[in-house]
Amino acid sequence: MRYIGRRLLHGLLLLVGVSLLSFLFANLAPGDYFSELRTDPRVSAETVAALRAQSGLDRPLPVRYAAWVASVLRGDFGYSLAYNSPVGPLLWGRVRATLLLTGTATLLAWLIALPLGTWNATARGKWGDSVSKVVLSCLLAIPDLLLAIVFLMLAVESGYFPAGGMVSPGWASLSGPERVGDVAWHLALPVAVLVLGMLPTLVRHVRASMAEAIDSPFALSARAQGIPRQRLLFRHLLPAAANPLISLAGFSLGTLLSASLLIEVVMGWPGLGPLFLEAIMARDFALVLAVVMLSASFLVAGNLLADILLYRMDPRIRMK
Amino acid sequence: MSRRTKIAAVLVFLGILHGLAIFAGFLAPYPYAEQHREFPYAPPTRIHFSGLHPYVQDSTRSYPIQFLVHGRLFGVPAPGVIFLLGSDAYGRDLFSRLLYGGRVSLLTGLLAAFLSLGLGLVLGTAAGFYGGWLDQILMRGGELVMALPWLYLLLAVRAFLPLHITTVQAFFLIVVIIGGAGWVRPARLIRGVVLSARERGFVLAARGFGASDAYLIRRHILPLTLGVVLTQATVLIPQYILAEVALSFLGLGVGEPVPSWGNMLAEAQEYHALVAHGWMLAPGLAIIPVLLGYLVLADTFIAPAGRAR
Amino acid sequence: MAAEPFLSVRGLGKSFAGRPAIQGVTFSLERGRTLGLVGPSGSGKSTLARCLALFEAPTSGEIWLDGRNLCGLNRRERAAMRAEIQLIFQEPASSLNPRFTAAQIVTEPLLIRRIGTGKTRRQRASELMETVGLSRQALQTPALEFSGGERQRLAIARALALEPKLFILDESFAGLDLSVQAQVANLLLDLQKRRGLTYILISHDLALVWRMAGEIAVMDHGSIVEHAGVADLLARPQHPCTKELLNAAQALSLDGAPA
Repeated sequence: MRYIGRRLLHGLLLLVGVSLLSFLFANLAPGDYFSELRTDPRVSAETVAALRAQSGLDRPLPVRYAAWVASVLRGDFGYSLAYNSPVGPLLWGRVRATLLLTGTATLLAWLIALPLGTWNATARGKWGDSVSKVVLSCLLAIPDLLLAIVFLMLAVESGYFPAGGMVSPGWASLSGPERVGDVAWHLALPVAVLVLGMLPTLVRHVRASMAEAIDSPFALSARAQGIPRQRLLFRHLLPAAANPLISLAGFSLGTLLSASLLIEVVMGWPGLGPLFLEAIMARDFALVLAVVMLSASFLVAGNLLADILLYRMDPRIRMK
Repeated sequence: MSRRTKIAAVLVFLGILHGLAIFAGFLAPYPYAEQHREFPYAPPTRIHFSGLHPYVQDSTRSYPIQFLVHGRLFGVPAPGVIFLLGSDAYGRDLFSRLLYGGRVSLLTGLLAAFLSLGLGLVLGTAAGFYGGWLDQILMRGGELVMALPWLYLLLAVRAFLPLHITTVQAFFLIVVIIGGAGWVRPARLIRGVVLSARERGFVLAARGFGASDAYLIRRHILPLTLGVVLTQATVLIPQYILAEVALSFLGLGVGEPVPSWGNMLAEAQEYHALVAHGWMLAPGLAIIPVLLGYLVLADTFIAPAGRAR
Repeated sequence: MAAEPFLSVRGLGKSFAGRPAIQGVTFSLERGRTLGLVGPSGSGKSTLARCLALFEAPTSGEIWLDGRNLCGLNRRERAAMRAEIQLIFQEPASSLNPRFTAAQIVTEPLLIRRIGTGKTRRQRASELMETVGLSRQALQTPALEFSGGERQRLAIARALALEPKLFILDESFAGLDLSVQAQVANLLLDLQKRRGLTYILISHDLALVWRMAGEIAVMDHGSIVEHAGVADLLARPQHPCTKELLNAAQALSLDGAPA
């Protein structure tokens, strides 16, 4: 229990550190939301200064940081100058959309990688393994960006899949199951790109972990005792391979918010990605900060979860 | 194929690809900004042969392909055009832009990796050798950097710096950003090597002879980090090439008129045009053999770490 | 004794985090002699060795070598004294950088102390190789291609580079084949005769100690419990610890040498 408490504290401190770092960096950078205005000859310097003062951009750093933290705790996550609203409400819809995309893709990728990697590990050197390796290596060498563009191109040409967006116009008037179907139809291509991008590394890791478990002395002796394959696989091998796989799973979870940035932008999925990009172009600090903090939190939480799970599952760690 | 032969072969392969990009100025028939407005989205020019002499033709006449002309490897006399990979919306030769763009993207990857590895070497060695508070600061700092999702970090850092800068400035800026953000993993790995190397018998013996820290690090410890540095290089370079492509694609990297594979791909996003003009995807396709090369290199480096067969 | 003994240790003590590893160690040794240091594991032999070799600063006591006090020296003086005392480690494999060539290894001390030029150092490398019975042809061979016994010779050659007066051999023979042990032991004895080297030999192997040493000190729980000439100690052991050691050695010995 103490271990878990310590890890939680560590994670929290890490996030505080990240927030400080990001805040500092964002505010030390030359230029802010009103910088573009300054270059506009029709707007006078006084107006810009007044606008700045109004938004509180001229207060000293520690004051602004404290105000921001207070805002976070309230659930507002700061105030977006570009959208003229607290950041919070702007985020949630987008976060849901992103999680839907990455969640589905991650789940699918793991569902494919686990059996595929295990099969490869058990049949190392045989044709299935070799073909897998070649195909996955080629896949790894294909940039996500290219895949996304190609898929979109095919969608536009064939019309079988939508060319962007999460829902079709008139979605609200569809029935429940029809709604789900529509979203799924829109999900298909982005998920496909994400899955294809995740598979090579995942399969590789699963294969390596399972191979190590299979080769270990205890597995060999278990086989020598005649334990049937199914039982061997699930009760002996999988738990042994779990260690590195749990870390990987934690990492997968941690990147749920951040893995799809590029793909969302290219394929027009209304998630955090496009929002982030807009905020960046507009130098909307609060929004950028909020998204960065949110995705950092996911990363930290993912690793934390993996650490805690490992702690519960692996008695060796507890011994330390 | 033995391991050494494999590594040599891949290195030659990568060397050729990089060489093509480096010598873009010579190999490309056209400068990257030269437009031929009368030939937008032209398909790849077909090359015909009369005996041994290659030539191209348009609706009226044929133009022989000349070699070593205007300081470039080949070209055709105006008003003929030779678009080996077709042209884009402004009639710019895609093949030339591909080469020039490759120069930007590949060079960014190499330079940024160099930066990351250099930083990682210095910081990791300092942390591993001296330990103490230096080690603590570096490791905690590294954790902070690693807690931020990579692409978000890059974009945020890039965006918070002035947006309107010259292309040269942009190039160096993204090299610094990409390379500067990625020192953590190399530093950690090198730190591990240094930590164990520090306790080796021959280091203690040399210390016993009165060797200074600098001597120990230089003669005994650094050579041991070579393996890690090389493997990290094969992993980081492709990652960084993709980072440059992503940044330029989003408009935050190198911009018009200088081509990079990223901003060229951004132009390919005219989907209705793309369907008919598949060659616009060339920059994306060009990345594939580069990544494959580095992938095979990385695998070959790691391979002998014993896999039971 | 007419003059001061070559090596004189008085009341030496070393504690780690408040717990004493050695305490009140006192003995002296004449030049050109070999002192065998034996005792059960954890009795402080290695700590004593490290203190003597100036790898550790003792917490109490004094060490006098050739009339000079080794304690309380500043860094430069200590570095100079290190040339006089050389420690030969147990693991020849780890005390040599496997990628260095033999030439690089044996001249490293000279390089570190900036003694001589490249040319003189190369000459010295040849001399040193010959001294320890290794062929000059092997000068450019990397260390990992040498056998265990050869590596120990290299370590000795390296140790000789600075012309030390005192060798501390800390389990230097462990891990070597018996025949190789004999060769290295002969080499050391030969060097001792020719150059008047003084040795402190730490070993578990009583047969080896009997062969090489002139006197033996037995350590237990951080102090010396008995110190006598080899023959006397074996014939008339006084301390219970000594007796235990001898009994154990006899029970396992094959040639019954220490009788």
